[in-house]
Amino acid sequence: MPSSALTPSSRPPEIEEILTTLSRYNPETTTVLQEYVATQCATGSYDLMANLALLKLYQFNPELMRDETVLNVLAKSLTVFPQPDFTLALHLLPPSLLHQYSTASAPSSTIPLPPKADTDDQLSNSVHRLTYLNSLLELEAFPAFWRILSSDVDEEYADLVADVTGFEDAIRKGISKGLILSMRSFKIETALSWWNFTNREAVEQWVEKEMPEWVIEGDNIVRKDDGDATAAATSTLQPVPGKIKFEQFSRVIRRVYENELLHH
Amino acid sequence: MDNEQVAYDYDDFIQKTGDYDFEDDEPLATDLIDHEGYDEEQLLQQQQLFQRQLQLQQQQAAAQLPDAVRNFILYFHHCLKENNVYDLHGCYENSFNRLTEKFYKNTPWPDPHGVVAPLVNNDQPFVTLYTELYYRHLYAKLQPNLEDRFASYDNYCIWFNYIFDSSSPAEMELPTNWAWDIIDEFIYQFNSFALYRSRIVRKSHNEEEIQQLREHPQTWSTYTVLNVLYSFIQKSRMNEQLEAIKEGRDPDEVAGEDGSRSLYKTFGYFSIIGLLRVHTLLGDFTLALKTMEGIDLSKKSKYARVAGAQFTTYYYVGFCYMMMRRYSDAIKAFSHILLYISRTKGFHNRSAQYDSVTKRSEQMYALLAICVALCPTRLDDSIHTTLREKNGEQLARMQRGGEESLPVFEELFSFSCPKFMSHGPPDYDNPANNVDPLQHHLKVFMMDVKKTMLVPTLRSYLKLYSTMNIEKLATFLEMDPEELRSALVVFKQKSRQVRWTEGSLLDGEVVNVSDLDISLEGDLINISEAKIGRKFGDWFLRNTAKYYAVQDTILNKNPDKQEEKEHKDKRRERREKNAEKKGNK
Repeated sequence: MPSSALTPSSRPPEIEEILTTLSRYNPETTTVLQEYVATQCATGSYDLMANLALLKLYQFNPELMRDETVLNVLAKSLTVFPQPDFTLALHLLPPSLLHQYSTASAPSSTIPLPPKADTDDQLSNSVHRLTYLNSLLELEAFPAFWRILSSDVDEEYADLVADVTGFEDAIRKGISKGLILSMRSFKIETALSWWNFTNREAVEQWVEKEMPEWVIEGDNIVRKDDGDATAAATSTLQPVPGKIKFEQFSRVIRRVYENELLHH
Repeated sequence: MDNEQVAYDYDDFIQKTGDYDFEDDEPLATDLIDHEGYDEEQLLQQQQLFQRQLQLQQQQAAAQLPDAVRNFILYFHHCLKENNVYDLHGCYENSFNRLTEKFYKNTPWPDPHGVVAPLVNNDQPFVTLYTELYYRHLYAKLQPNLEDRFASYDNYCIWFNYIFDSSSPAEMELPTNWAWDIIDEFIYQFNSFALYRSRIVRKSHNEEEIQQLREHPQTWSTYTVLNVLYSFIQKSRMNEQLEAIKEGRDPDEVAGEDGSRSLYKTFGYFSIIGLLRVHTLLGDFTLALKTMEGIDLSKKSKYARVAGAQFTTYYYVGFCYMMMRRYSDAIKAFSHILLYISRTKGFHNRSAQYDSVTKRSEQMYALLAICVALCPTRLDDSIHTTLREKNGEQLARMQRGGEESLPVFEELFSFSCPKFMSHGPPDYDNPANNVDPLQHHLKVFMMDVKKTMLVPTLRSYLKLYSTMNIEKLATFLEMDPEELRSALVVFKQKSRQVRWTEGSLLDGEVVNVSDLDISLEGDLINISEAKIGRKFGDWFLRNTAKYYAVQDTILNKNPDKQEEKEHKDKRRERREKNAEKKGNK
């Protein structure tokens, strides 16, 4: 990960102090880190290393674990998909939480159905739900993602991310990144359903604000700088030039030398 | 005296990489206490009786000690006292193993306190070190019971306290690989204890042992182990030293008094690798790699000579990268060390730890197969050949993708992952709550794998076209066009990975790691395939070498083989000489 993600500029010095010293093992720092998670939720900042440090403290001191904070950490890490942050957090949770988790796909679809979230353990149920949301995001199955999130049948999905200010826009930004990476143009229709906007104006505003390299042309959103639209995808891969080090010839040279000796 | 001149060779030394298989289901020898009529006084009496019996046994054992063993212990002690690192290495590396083969193949070495301590005037440092060896041998060859595990832990505490105590003789030195072995074994036993404990609780047969475990929550606790490792790092100021080395300064400038001592230096350095391992075992892959911040893997360090430390480092670094979905970095780490192992194979063959090196490298080939399946990559030719020999069929199944590939991923992961452990003591009261950590990490890992199941299929279609319509491809794949659009974005995302370029192990840049690139233009998929130029130079050089070999075979001379043979002969001569000397004594 880029070093900026490892040490976000928004990290206060006291958190930096905890993360770089042995205080990261001190149960007393739990409260500081918990508050920091709350700050991240409120301000939209994000600090993976600090959150993992907190989960580790919970791992070491299960009696200190606060369900709400664990869920907030997970919800926050959804906002940076498709980075593996959510998975990294899951690895640090108690194994019993995910023990029952399983999903099945609907027939003739690649998108999994919601997991059964009806174990006795409330935290475990919530973790199942967030894990499911993460799967939808990583499968780029956005229409399904928004449908689940706004579901009237299971309102808990929406509750789970309610603490994260700007959750929806953060997700939209993530979606936009994927679009910017893979598209040269896409339909407004796609934008509406992926970003979960109800009207064209919202899409226009979003493109203007978040995608400066793009313009709306008729029913399409098109990359501005793309003069040569017929060319194949831009590729950053270059053929490997055939560099050979001199030392690699040592054997050949030795051989020639030996043959010379042999013949004279 | 057994003071042969031991010719040793660092490369010859391959050390156990902490992965023994242990199946200690044997009934445990703690049934001395009668738990029916349990009463303090009776207990005391029995203990005293037991002590007396033990003493008697020990005296007998001392009398029965073979001369070779007695002499070895005395000489060993002498070397430690004299601080003769060279001969200590010989004792540790050769004599101990030889005597083990001869006398203690299936039985423990002589009891440290009853038999060995009186021989060496109760010299504490020596007895502690000997005890460490005693238990290490016991763990490797026999089945340690709970008491052994407790006792070995106590001994580690004594030893660490001794070296952390600044009033100890500052000059003590140990051979580098011995220092590594101590750290390695310490973590291995910690890991082994956690697994043993969870097994007892799962089976929940032995109430008595469970009681003992409840009473000693501190024994082999994660905090203690972390504490030891961090203390070594701090005491030696190893991170500061590594920082200085990076900047091209003299590490001794920042090392301070303790950090300049070679004993602290080695323990400090190896403790970093120890932390890498402990964090991985606990599922904290980011912190594991962060701990390695100071160590520059691209540069040779003097500790690189300890092969066991090398294997451990690359195995865990590669594994952590894999868990962070940085497959190309993982592939690089595994390829590097597997190449190293295959090049030095000749040496490992004769080593006592040959089996564990073999197993570890098989694990790494399995991990490599997983990574290559998830991120198609061109491997080094010789690694590729071996991978196909070992895991060829599995690799092909994983590369085909789909539901059928999942069991293969699971199988290979379970075979090759570290022995994951939970941090704390298990839930003694509700054994059902104790989920095997392996199952947890496997599950989370498989979630990632499942999301890429469609990628191989997409790849195989996309390879055939330069442009294609989403509708058309959707018909081929019998899937919904909108789902396909999402799948294509997933495909594109998966081709972007963070890859290390410089700096600490966690750093890296997002790069394209795939030879197949796409971009969507409305409903049109543009596909470009980067044909990576073959490295013709390498190919010709390799085949030139092969051609020479054929020529030589025809002419019936093989200079390379001959060299190897000479080398072997020399080694045999040396060994025979040593054996002769020993026979003379």
